This record gives sequence, C-alpha cells and structure tokens, in this order.
Amino acid sequence: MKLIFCIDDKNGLMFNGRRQSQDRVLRERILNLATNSRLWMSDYSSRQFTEGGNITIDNDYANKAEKDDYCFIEDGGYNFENCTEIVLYNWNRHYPSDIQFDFDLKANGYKRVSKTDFAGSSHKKITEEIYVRKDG
Amino acid sequence: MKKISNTLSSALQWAFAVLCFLGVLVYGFTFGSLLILLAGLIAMPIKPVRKFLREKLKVKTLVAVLLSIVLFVGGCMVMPQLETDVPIDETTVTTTEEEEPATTVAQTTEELTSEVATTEEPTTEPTTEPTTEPTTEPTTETATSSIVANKENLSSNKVSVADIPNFSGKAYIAVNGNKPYFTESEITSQAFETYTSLDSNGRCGVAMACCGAEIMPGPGEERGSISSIKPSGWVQAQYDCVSGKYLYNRCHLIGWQLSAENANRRNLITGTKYLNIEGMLPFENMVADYINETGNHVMYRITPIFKGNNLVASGVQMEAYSVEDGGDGICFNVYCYNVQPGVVINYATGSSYLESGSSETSTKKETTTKETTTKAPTTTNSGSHNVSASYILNTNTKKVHYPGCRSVKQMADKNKQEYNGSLDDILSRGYTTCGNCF
Repeated sequence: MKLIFCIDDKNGLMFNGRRQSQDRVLRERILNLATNSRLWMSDYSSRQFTEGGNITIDNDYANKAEKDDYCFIEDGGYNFENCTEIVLYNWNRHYPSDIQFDFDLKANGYKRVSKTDFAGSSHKKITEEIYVRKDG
Repeated sequence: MKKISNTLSSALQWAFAVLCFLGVLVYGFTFGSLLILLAGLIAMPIKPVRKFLREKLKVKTLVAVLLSIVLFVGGCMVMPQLETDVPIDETTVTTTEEEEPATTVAQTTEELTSEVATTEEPTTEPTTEPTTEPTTEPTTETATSSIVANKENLSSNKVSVADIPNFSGKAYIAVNGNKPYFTESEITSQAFETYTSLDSNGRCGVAMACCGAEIMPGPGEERGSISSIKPSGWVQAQYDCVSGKYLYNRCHLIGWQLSAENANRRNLITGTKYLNIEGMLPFENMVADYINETGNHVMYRITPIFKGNNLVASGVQMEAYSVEDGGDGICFNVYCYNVQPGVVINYATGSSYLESGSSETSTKKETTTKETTTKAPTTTNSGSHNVSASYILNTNTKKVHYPGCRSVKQMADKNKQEYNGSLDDILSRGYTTCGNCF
C-alpha cells in the first residue's frame, strides 16, 4: 500500500487530536494522485474531503488496504509492513504537535523519487515528496 | 412629620452616596465610575457639601439632587460601553490609543495579576529551572472539564506559575487537558479584539479576540515598526547561543498575522526568542492558516503570567477555540515558557546572564544545533512571529544595522531602508551584519 502523510517542519502530524492544517488544493492533489486506485481514510479524515473522489472510509484501513491502494493517514493507526511507497506533504510551516512522523525513511530502505513544490489555497508552498521502498 | 421626612431624606441621600462610592470600588477609576462618584459626593447630606454647592456654585438643593441623578445616570450609561467587547469598527480606534482606560478585560486582569502576585520578593529564575515555589492557590484545579461549562468570567482561566511544571525542554505544555476556559457567553462569531491597559508596573494583561479575516492583515499589508515600544523588563542582551544573538523579542500577545496590530504597547511583552519562535509562533500559524483556509472564526485569548511584581512574564497561556465547527478544527489551552535555553533570566528586572557551566564552545554548538534543526519561519509577509526586530539596511553596502548604530547617521538617505523582519531572512538575501553594532 501507499501511505500519505501531511507533516510540518518538525515532522509533526497532529496536535490535541486534530490535524495541524488543511488545504483545499492539497486535497485535490491527493484525490488526483489516487485517481486510479482506492483512497482509504478514517472517518475523521473523510470529513474534510467534501470534493468527492474514490474514497473508502474505514478506520481499519491499515489492515484492509491492498497493494496499490493509497491510505491518507491523519489520526488512524498504520504500519509500514506492507508499505511500498510513502508520500509526504510538508506544509513548510511550524505548527504545534504531539504526534510526529518518526519513521526513518532512509534507514528503512526508502529512496526519494520526486520532490515537487506547489502553492496551496492557504499555504504559500507545500512540498510533495514521494519515497519508494527499494525492495518494493 | 417634617423631622421624619428630613431623616428619611437624609437616609436616602446617604444610601445613594454609599451606592455611588461602592460603584467606584467595584468598577475602578473609569470615566463612568468617576461620574457616579461625583453624583455621590453631591448627594451627601453634609454641611460642607451643601455649603459649597450653595455658596460657591450657587446651586439650590433641588438642582443639586437633579444634577446628582443626571451624573449617576450618565455614569451608568457610560459604564456598559466600556465593558462591552470592542466591535470591529471601533477596534482600530481602541487599539491605536495606547493609553485608553481598561475595559472589562482590564479588571479581570487585575484579578489575575493580584492572584499571581501573591509572591514574596521578585525572584531570579534560571530559565532552565523555573521556580516551583507556590505563589498562589492553584487556579486550574477548579476548572471544569468542559470547554464551555465554566461560567465564571475571564478571571477563571487563571494559571499561576506554581501550577506549571519546570521547563524540561518542551516549549509548551497543555493546560486543563488542552481545553480552553471560554464560557458560552464569550464565544461569538463576531470578530473583535480587546487588550488590557498596562498595570502600575507597566505590564500587559489579558488580550482576547475573536479572530477572523475581518481583523487579520489584508492582502499585501505589511507590518509596521514596533521598535518604539519598550515592554516591561526590556533589557536586551546578546548571546551566541541565541539564534540571531538577541535574547528578547517584542513578543505580540495576539500575533500580527491574527490581528494586524503593530506598535500597540498593550499587546507586546518582553519575550525570549525561544518563546516567540518555538512557543507561540506554531500556535499562531495553526490558527491563522485555519482561518485563511476555512473562513471560520477562532476565539483566542492570551494571558501573560507574571510572578509577583516581576517585569518579565514567566510564560504565556494561549487558549483557542474554533467557533463555527465547535472546536473541531482548533482547540487548545497551553502554557508557553518564557525561557531561553542556556541563559538565566532575572524575571524581576529583565537582566540576564549566560548559564553557569555554559562554555562559549557549548553555546556555539547549541546555536549550530538550533540553526540546523529549526527552520526560520518563511512567512514574512503573512506575519511571521519572529519578525519582531527593526533594522536599517544600507542598500548600497548590503549591511544590516540596528537603528541606533552610529553608521546609520552617516548613511545617505538614498541608501537607507528601514526593515522590520527576521534577521535570518535578510541575511539570506545577501546582506551581512554591521561590524560596529552587531
């Protein structure tokens, strides 16, 4: 499966059970990314996706998603066991956080294959980085 | 019969006068309460007052009574206006008149300050080990678990230094399980901002707002200079271990990116670079971006926490709650430490010194670590919180100077440019610091 995370400058994911930030343009980008596959996410995450898309809402997505499926991770659990690709969106901002993305990509055999900056609707610059597992 | 009538009349007048005096005690010395005080004085049924009115002002008793009533009514009419949250249209006026009398927030802040100010002598606190001596009764313990269940007024959100654990390397900690203390009556979707007038020590109090696009900086709006403000405890110092070297920032209570407030002395405290960048800025960013993205409003309250008569706040309590979605987007209640790792601050005065045991080598190393692990905020135009210093740029020599530098006086006007922002930002644009003033 392919996991999608949004992080800040300090690798933060959430604070006080809430996402650090959101952006309409980013949501559209995620939907486009998963155009030809299923996009899994939790009930909490789905509330910000009002634009539609091929979304499957299931809090147990980590166990149900298949190889080519994308999982958008905000509040739910996840594991990297069956993960082949990780997409990181960096807000390029510093937000408070009490849950961080602390996975060492390099040490776990992931290699960055692309890095793209784009402007969000309320964020000047969002950076998309795609990492692929070497043996994936 | 006449005697009874006179006694009754005197009793009524005394009761009226006492009522007026109590009004002053309750509301403090506001314009309205002073009118009421005057009404009470005129109403006092004592000879010196009567004689003064009759002989000096040529006022008869009946006229005096009427005058007293008019003053009382006038005072009462003025009073509620001072207590009402400042509507958007009046905000600009209020916030630019720096010495305006306090609003309701001011009264509650006095309560806050007096609670926290029960300590003994001002203390010197190593920033890495803030004192834990009890200074007042814990106030957070009385708070309810519900965000809006607390029916007390602003004073109910008091947090004392005694409630806060020692700084342990984290710039902020959650208060009351991250649930803010806003009451139902305080929560509104109508944007406003209120600031407390300075206390007798020149210190800021509570700043509260309903943040929304209405009060945030408009597109292209740039920050004004705030260098004219010297907040309480402003004793600037430079250390190698501080990014940009300067220990203190003029720290906005309600950040510029949320309020577009510039040189408002009621909104600026002496805060360390660490408080500014690692403590407050992330929360401001989160709130500002949420508003920009959703168009919603966020209740926002910042309370500087002073210990005793200290001039520098020990920390800042930040509360926020998104209105339209009932806190689903934004909800926090945190305390940010006003500390600077490696530096010991005398909170009573604002003076500071390098922490004992810190060698030049170690402090330099720390600077390096901070610089490599902390990205400078990149939102200068949208009001980054670290943009709190004023510099003078020489556009010809590409040097950065402090406004007081002697080189500035010798600089040709055509080369002189005032700059308010992050030093890191301007250095990244090819400028270098002046050898005289840096």
